[in-house]
Amino acid sequence: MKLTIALAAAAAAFLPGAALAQDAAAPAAAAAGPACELHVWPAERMSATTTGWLSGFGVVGALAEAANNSGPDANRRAQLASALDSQSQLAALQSMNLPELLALPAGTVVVPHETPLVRNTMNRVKTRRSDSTAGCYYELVTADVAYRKAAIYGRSLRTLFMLREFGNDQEIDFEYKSWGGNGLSHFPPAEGEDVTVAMTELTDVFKRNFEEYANNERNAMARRRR
Amino acid sequence: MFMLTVPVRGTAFAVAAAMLGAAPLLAQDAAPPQAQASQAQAAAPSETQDSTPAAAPVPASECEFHVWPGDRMKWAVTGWWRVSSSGPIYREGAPAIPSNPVDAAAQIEIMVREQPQQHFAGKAGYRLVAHDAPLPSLAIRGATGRLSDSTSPCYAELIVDDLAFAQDPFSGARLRTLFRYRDFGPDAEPQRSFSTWGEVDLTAFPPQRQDQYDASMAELRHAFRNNILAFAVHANRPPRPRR
Repeated sequence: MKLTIALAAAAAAFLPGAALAQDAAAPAAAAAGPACELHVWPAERMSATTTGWLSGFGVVGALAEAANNSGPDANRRAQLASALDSQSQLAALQSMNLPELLALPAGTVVVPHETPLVRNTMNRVKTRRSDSTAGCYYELVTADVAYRKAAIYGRSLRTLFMLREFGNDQEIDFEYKSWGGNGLSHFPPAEGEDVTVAMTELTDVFKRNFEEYANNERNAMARRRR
Repeated sequence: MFMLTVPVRGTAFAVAAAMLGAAPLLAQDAAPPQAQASQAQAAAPSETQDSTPAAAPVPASECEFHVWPGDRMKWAVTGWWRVSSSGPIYREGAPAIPSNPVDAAAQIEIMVREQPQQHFAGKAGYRLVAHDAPLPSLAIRGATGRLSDSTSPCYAELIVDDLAFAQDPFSGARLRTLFRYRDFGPDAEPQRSFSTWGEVDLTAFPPQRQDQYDASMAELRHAFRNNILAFAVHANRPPRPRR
């Protein structure tokens, strides 16, 4: 990809008006100007839901499930909030090459925000969530982190991410929102068990979820550019 | 080889501790939490035998047990109709409570009073060194060496990584605390690390009426103290095979 961008930039320099440059050099052109910004927010909302065989038995079954699982689920929510606190989410995301994974212009500067956005404003607010006035501006919001345990499918961690692209204004030019999810084999830890492995697994799966999301986002962005 | 298995859990832990004086052999098998540090070092506890077989006895006064408090309490409250991650779900007439009811100062006060090293196997004679400021979670979780600049020849750390209040309509309320324990001995890297959650049920917290406020806050602090003891019980157990 980097090679493609470099070739396109070279073509744009030597062949003004070339169709090739117009199609492929959008990221390169942005990279040549002021650096783009990618603002990143961690998730505020954590949830944990366990469903067993009883959930198929109507209201009574659902009540029985709730009575059986509400305590453990509250504990898992607390464990999620601990293992994937704001600092840990940001560290996990920043350990990856976000601009490359999200197909953003090369040289995009990542700006982390430690305070999560209030969840119920995530969809409602359609303008920039930071004070930045950068002409090339993206937002990546982790909206939800959810632990699920189902009778058939087992344990998994699901994560909802949202990317927004703004032009040189407050209008959203492109938005992609999607869930990523992967299985868990160590979380939640048993009572009294060392939690290190389970907590590391949560971080690893969080990163895998993002890679899954980013892969889908790249495809969506490529379709839009075509 | 004959092995005596003692269930070290809850009150059984207290019974085991009380039996130390009367039954030293049994106490040795079950990891003596109340043994004096000097005695423990003379006997060379199993966790340090592997890496420092020829270590000379160190006066207990030179040994240090460093403790750090946790940062803000997390809330995982599930009500009948909604969930909350920012505090309790208040009923009408219930008094407002601080968002961080067991703050760093309160945790340190409890730990200084409780002297938690006394509950960890072989650490009873260690000198408690309390740090006032919580550490960032990334610093705790990413640390490979000592978190202080101490060069003590026998050194251990107990860190409150997280406090969480969990509540749901069916199981009630509880205080959960994530501790990290690292025993370095004389080394720069830990000889043993262990971390897990302690959990204590709450019956009075959060308060429903103003006149219950003081009792409920006292219960919460007592639960934090009991979480330390519960964690020490887990930490004193031999490592379990991973699932």
